[in-house]
Amino acid sequence: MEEKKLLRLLEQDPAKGLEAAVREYAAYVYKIAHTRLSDVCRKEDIEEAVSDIFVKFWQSGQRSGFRIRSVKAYLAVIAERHCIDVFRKACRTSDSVDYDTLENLISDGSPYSDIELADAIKRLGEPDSIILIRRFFFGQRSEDIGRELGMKTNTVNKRVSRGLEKLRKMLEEDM
Amino acid sequence: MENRLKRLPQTMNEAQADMLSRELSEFGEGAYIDDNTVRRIQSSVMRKAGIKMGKTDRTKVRKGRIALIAAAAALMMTSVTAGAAVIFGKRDSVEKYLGDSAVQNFDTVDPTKEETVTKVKDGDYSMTIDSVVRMAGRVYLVGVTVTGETDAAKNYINSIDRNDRFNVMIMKQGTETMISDGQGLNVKRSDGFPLPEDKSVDEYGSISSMTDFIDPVQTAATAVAYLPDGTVIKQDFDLEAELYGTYDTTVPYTDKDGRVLNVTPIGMIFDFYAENENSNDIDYLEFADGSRDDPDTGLGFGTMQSNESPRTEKTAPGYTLFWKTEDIGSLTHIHFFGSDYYRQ
Repeated sequence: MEEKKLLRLLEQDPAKGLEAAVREYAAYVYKIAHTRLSDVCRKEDIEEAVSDIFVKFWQSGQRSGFRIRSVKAYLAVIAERHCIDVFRKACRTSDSVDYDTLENLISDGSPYSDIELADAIKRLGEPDSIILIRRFFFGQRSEDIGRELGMKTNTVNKRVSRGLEKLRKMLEEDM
Repeated sequence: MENRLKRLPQTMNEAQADMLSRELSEFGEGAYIDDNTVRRIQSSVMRKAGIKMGKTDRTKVRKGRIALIAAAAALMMTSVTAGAAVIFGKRDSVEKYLGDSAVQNFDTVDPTKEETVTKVKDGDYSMTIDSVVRMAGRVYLVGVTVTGETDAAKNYINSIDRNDRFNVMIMKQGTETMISDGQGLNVKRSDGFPLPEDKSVDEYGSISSMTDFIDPVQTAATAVAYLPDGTVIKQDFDLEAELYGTYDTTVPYTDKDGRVLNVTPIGMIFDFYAENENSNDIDYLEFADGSRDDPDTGLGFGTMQSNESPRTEKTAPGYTLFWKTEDIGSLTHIHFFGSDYYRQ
């Protein structure tokens, strides 16, 4: 379903809209959750997380009257936030988890804003912008990125490394 | 830098997410989960949100039906006019233009037809005649679905070869007229519609769709499926569905100078052309709720100009056909070639 129509449906008939949203984007949200949580959660827990994400999406959307532009982008942010919470909880009960994945919770004191960062990522152009979003926003492994985008893992790693450097320079020049 | 990027999900607001919507959406390309998982998640979400679910039976078949309904609509269009056949030949993907909206609008307009289910073969599998709709007062689109829940039923359904056919026969004054691909009136197995190639993409079985012109006075029909084991399934269905009501013929939209833009609904597609016009310049369509679609951004919107007019009443050499998957009942205003046309 076209996003515009889905948003209209969510506004006019939230129940039907929610049902349609799940049908439309369950696979997308599942992939996000699976990427983040497959190391620490069972399949049933991932499904549970996915359903919680949609409920949060719905509750949040109802508050804002679903005045959003991109359902997918909105869902992605909600999904990532929720998955990080689930991940943290799972890590507390598991000794085998690598806490490095939680680096994103540590501030590095960067002087630029998120909007500047998002703009710089966009200006990187594809495929680098896509690779960086997959690697850092969604936490996807380089080998999985490579497989899905038809690149060697080494190529992905090089692009990540160069992309980060370019991003840093762009942001410094902007300041 | 890495940490900052990793922290984005927690700090990003909606505007920033919008800025990266292409990158965020791209991650979902090719994502797939099976229908069972979707249903479980859907059920869980609706329960948590305190909403009673709609009919899950409809949900489970709809996903697979979308492309087929679209394909059937394409068949229908090719049957309507030679010009339309040219137009569809230019499309790289019919689904791209029809999308889900076609199916959903069918559901909305004619929900009762989806409920007709005939159980056969000891309940192993069932055949459903659905989406029986009348279009433009003369065309029907018929969807036939075979579904099965048990393993035996699934195995059986997946064993149905693409070369097996569904036949639909229309009863008219005691004479059976079979609907097939615009040809063939004899009732025999080979004249029906082949099953779609992707019939086994999900575990709920096979789906076939078929269309043809039918005399508008028809009131009854029988769908007949010839299955590989020799089983012949028959199901009567009703052809009384009035999809468009008063909009089942060409609808004139006129501008202040009295020029007429004739709009013809065909299924969820409508086409229109301007007599004595020679342009494909459309600016936007406006709907009853105030929303507007324009060809540059409206999904499911296509234009094509042909020098071969498929319409006998056409007087100018240039012919412009537009199509959009919207109910014409909600189309109030067309801004076309610099003029405003309103439905009378």
